[in-house]
This record gives sequence, C-alpha cells and structure tokens, in this order.
Amino acid sequence: MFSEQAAQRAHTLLSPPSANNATFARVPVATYTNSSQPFRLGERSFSRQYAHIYATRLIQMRPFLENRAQQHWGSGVGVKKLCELQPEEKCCVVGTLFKAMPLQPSILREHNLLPQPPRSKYIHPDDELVLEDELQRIKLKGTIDVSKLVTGTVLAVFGSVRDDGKFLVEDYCFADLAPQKPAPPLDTDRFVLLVSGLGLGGGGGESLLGTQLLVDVVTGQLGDEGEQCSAAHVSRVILAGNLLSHSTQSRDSINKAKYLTKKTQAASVEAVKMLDEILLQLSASVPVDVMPGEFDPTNYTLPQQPLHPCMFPLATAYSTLQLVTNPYQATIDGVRFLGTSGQNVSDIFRYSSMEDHLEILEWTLRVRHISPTAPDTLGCYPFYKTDPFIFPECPHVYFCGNTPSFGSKIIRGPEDQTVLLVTVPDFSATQTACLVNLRSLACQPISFSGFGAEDDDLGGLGLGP
Amino acid sequence: MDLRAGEEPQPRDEEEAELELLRQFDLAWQYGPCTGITRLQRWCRAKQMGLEPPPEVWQVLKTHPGDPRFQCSLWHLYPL
Repeated sequence: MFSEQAAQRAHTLLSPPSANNATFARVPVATYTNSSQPFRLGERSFSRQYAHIYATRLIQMRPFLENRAQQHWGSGVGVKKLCELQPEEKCCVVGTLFKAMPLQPSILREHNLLPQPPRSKYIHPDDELVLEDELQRIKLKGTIDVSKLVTGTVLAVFGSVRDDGKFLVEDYCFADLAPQKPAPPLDTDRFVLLVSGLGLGGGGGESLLGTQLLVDVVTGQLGDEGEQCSAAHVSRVILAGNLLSHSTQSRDSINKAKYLTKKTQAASVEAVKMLDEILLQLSASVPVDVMPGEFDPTNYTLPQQPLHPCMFPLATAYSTLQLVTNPYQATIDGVRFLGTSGQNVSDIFRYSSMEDHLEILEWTLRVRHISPTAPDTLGCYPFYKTDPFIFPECPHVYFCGNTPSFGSKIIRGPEDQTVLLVTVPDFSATQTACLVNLRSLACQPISFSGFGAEDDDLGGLGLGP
Repeated sequence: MDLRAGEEPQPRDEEEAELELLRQFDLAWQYGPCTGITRLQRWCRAKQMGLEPPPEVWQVLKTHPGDPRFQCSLWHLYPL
C-alpha cells in the first residue's frame, strides 16, 4: 500500500531542475491523547510485599471470570471458593495459577552453590500447576496444558476435587478480550511507524546505516516525489524500546581496579548522544514517542518510567518529542494503541512452551493481562491499590517490541472486538520496521539494508512489499 | 477521688473497643492483605473495589488522625 501509492506518481528523479519544488505537508495530528497515566509512578515505596498486587489482581478479575464461566458452562454453574469444595461435586473455581518449576532460578536453591547458567526455556515435564484463591491452594491435574500456562494467570477451572486432594480439571477458561469502543472511521490513509531495538552503541555500522535510512524515509529526504508524498502520510513514529544496545550495559569496569577505570566513560554516554542526534532529526519532522526498553537508562521494574529529558538536550527543544512509559497506551486519531517493549512477551516465552511471539501476544490479550508473570519472574513495582496491567478496555492495535521477527495478525473477540496484533522486530538485527495503516488497520513491514562488506546478493534494497 | 476513678476506665474502654474493631478489620480476609499499608489506605482500596468495608472503621480512623495505634496495621512494628 505504501509503495503502491508511491509508484503511482510520475517519476521525478533525474529530471532537470525546476523552478517549483514540490513540498508535501505532513498529515496533521487530528487527535492524540496519551492514556498512560496508570503506568506513571509518583512517590515510590518499596516497603511493601507483593501479596497486595496478587490480591488486587484476583479481586479485579473475579467478576470477568465469573461472567465467562457462566457463558461457557451455563448460568447455573456454581462458582465456589476452595474452602467450600465438596468431594466429587462438579463446580467452578476462580483463582490465580502458580507453576512450580524445578528449573526456575531460585535464590533459595542456589545460595551456596553457583547459579545455573541461563537457558532459553525453563520448562520441564515435572512442572506442576497449583491454583490459589484468597485463602487456599490446590494442585491441578486433568485436561489442562501445564507447559503452556504461566504463573500469575487468573483463570476459572471447571471440575471436581478428588480423593487424593487434587482438583481434576475438565475444562478451563480465561477472561478473554475486554470490551472495546469502536474506532471512528478515517477518510485518508494515515500511517504510524513502529520501530524497536535501534541498538545504538552496539558497535555495528550496518545498523547505523539502516537507522539513518529510516530517518531519511520518514523525514522525506529519500526517494522521489511519490515516496515523499507517501512519507508525508506517516503521522507518528513510536520507538518501542531498546534504543541502546545490550553491550552498553557491560559491567567490566566493576571488576577492574579503580586506577584502571578512572578515565573510562560508560558506553551508554556515547550511545545516548547518538540517540539524541537521531531524535533531533526525527522530531524536527514528525511527532515521536520514545518508550524505554530493557537496556535503556531507566528503572528496571515494570512499568518503566520515561527517559529523563536531560539526556536529550538537542531533541527536547521540539515539542513533538514525547518521552513515554513502558507499557504505553495512547489514542491516535481515534485508534487505541497499547504496547510494550517486549519484556512481558519474552518473559512468558522463557517459562512457557509457546514458541511464537505473536501467539504469546495474543495469549496475553486473551488472559486480559499485559504481563501475568510480573512480579514472579519479571520485576514489577509493588502496587497495592490496583493492578494496572489488567486491560480495562480492548485496544485496536496491540504491539510488542524487540521480537526476533516481524508478525502481524488480526484477531476477533467474543463481542466482535477487532484487534491488530503486531510484533515489532529488533531493528539492529533485522533492519525492519512496521507501518500501521490507521484507516484499514493493516500492517506492513518496511526493511532497510545496504551493501555490506559480507553481502554477496543484492536482495533487500529499498521499501518492502 | 470517686469521680476521677469513675472517669478514667470509660474512655479507655471505648478506645479498647475501637482498637479491637480496627484489629478485626485488619484480620478480615475479604479486604486483602493488611501489612505494609495504613488502615485508611486499605479501607479506601476496599471501598474503590466495591467490597463495602464497614463505615464504622472509617469513622474511627477519622477521629484519631496521626495516632499510630489507630492508623497503622496490626503488624506495623514487624519489618515487612
């Protein structure tokens, strides 16, 4: 769609210079509201246990699950607490899952031994599922996929308790998609560019060329009038995390003696300067939202707070630059966007048998929770009032950054909700970004590459299909 | 002498009854965990979630602001 529009215009490259230079005005931002307020932390207090976040999660999700249970198993199904269970009586129980994994890294098992080396997946055939409600817990067995589920998911199980004290599950269900407000129809094509994993400071010159090409396409300095006209339809750019590379976090200087490391600078200083220059070029032309990621200089626990504006002295001169939280939620021209920098999906990937990041993204939407493994295996702030990661309403575009490959899918919910799921790939590895068309809710990848020293084939130049 | 002896036990009895009410509120499992947050925070959280916490507890908390015996939970002297 993007390049088809570009191809329709007459070619103007290599034509003699003319008196009039065509200028294209970028599509104005009709409406934009940032609804990430639930993810902003004010005063932070860490003198609380995580029991509060689990208790509020269960209390908030219980009514949704009881509704779904009645839809699945009839309105007469009895929803009981674990303490009210009678043996052999079929009923439904709502609770939080806990998966006991022998391979899960635990300080209690490792305190006097060497920690185990990191693995890509920590699942094991001996994993067990335990359901916990407000007062008790019970082991689950039966038709429930132990390897796929993760700790922290709230679900409803239907079955009965057996003589051995375990609950035999016959069926189970999740809270499924939240209610969705329909998006108002748009009359012109407007695009939002999603990029993640710029990986600056990583030492690779290849990805810098790709990043510069990306910036040039968006600011309209690349291509002839057709491409410039199409680029003018990009109304917003969202950078979904990992702007700095993993190697900027190297901690070699901690182990060296002070006299050797006195004059060394953290690798992230140079990388942030490069990022500032790139953001300056981008924000001079298009509104940019910058989300922090796993390797960026902000707090580690979710929700990550916006990067501090003092790090970007050049780019913050423009009001189009917005530093936002991770997860990020906003309404752009009536289309609700919700996305993270990928820590939630990659954490579920480590503790579940699901292989496809797009499948995991869809699964988090179906369980109605952005990141069920927080705070168990993913760092999280100890909230006590509410769990802000529960979806209050269903977004129209749900994305996650820093995935190994691009993927997009449109899914439907039980109440006719339509969501476009996008997994934004890591730009430093794949040189691919995503363009979301707000009018048709379609997504296409756009890849950039140059002729590297190792490249023998000439494929992959210019705009993608 | 008699008047003073008669006055003191009554306010203390009332206070004891109020503290007992607050302790029962702390131990009620319906409103979630009680450690690490003040009783007023827990009451407001229960109210926002629609759990209908007893209004008497709020009355007692409002009449003794700043007194840690009333405001802090049963376990506040224990770390975390």
